[in-house]
Amino acid sequence: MPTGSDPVDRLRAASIRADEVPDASLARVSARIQEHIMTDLQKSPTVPRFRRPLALVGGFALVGALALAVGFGSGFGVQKPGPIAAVPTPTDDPGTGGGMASCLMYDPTLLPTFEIVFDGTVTAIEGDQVTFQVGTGWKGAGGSVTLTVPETSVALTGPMPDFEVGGRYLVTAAGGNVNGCGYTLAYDAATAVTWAAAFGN
Amino acid sequence: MINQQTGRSALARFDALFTDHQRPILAYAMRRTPTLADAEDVAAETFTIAWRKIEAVPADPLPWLYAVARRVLANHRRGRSRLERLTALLRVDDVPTPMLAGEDHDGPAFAALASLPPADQELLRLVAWEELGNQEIAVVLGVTPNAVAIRLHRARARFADALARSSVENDLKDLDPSRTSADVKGTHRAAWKGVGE
Repeated sequence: MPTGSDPVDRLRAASIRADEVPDASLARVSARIQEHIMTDLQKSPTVPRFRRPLALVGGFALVGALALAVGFGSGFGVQKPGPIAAVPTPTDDPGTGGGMASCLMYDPTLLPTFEIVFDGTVTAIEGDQVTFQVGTGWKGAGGSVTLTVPETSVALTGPMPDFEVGGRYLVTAAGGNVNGCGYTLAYDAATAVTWAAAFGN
Repeated sequence: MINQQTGRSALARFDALFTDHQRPILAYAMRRTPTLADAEDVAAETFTIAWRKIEAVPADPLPWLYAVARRVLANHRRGRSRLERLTALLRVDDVPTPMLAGEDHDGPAFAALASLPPADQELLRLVAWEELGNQEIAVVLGVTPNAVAIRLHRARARFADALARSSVENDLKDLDPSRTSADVKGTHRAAWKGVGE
């Protein structure tokens, strides 16, 4: 039996834990992977191509020229070039499947283009409906806001936080839906500063 | 022909893989790179490879992902080394990874680790930081579990000696100035014996 503590503990104590990695960093990683996946899906006839929306983040608009879009119908098959990029707006009908797209690279300077942007705390969760008490409303939100959290595919639209009552989040939304693509995150002070700066605060 | 079921399965598998392991893989990269941007590069490349080889990902994917990340990291370091020589004066936006910015990184444990051969360092990191067992480390390093056990035993001993030299010796000397270095080394070896075996 050991007569003292494991010296390796001295290293362990100084290491960042997996649950401490910043969500914003994960969002950037996710966005880079999505770029590769979408490129593969478009280039290779042997790589499966989704044409049906995976009931993902709803409503995607045409923004920028960085991200490639994919037309989603039903099953796999030849893809038509789609619209560009993915910033949710209320103008697209997510039920039609026509506007599904890959994510834009996470870029906080794009935040002012979103319909709703705020820093808020979850007060209630009912099914896929999440109610937030808005702390700082940067755009389009104040008081209490109830939004739909759509089903997401990490591979295509990035991770979505696990919302919990009492949890604080940085949220963007459009058309009543919380956005994926790394544009909704568990709160952290450094990212909040970045978001505020995007609105000149 | 494109197999629709296979395609859906591939994306679903990748979703699960990324969801379950994104944090440990990014943490792995953050522990071994100087900046967040570097760590994100390594993690993204690792998962991109996993996506492209999704059918080859084993049932227990984490050691396999670490093995991929290890190779990506080696390539990244070689590339970065070349790049640094060209852009050292231009880079202004790198954010240090949190661990490397911490004061603990300047402590005696890290000094002791840095004094060891690179292979020993990585073995100990995989134990301490990724908390892997011998079987898993064997997958990461591409060697047999028996070889891991032998190498790890020696690495632990060398680390204990190095730590004794860099830290414990001074601590004990403060408590009892009459103790010699040999006393300290013997005490530390005794404390180490059997740990993790």
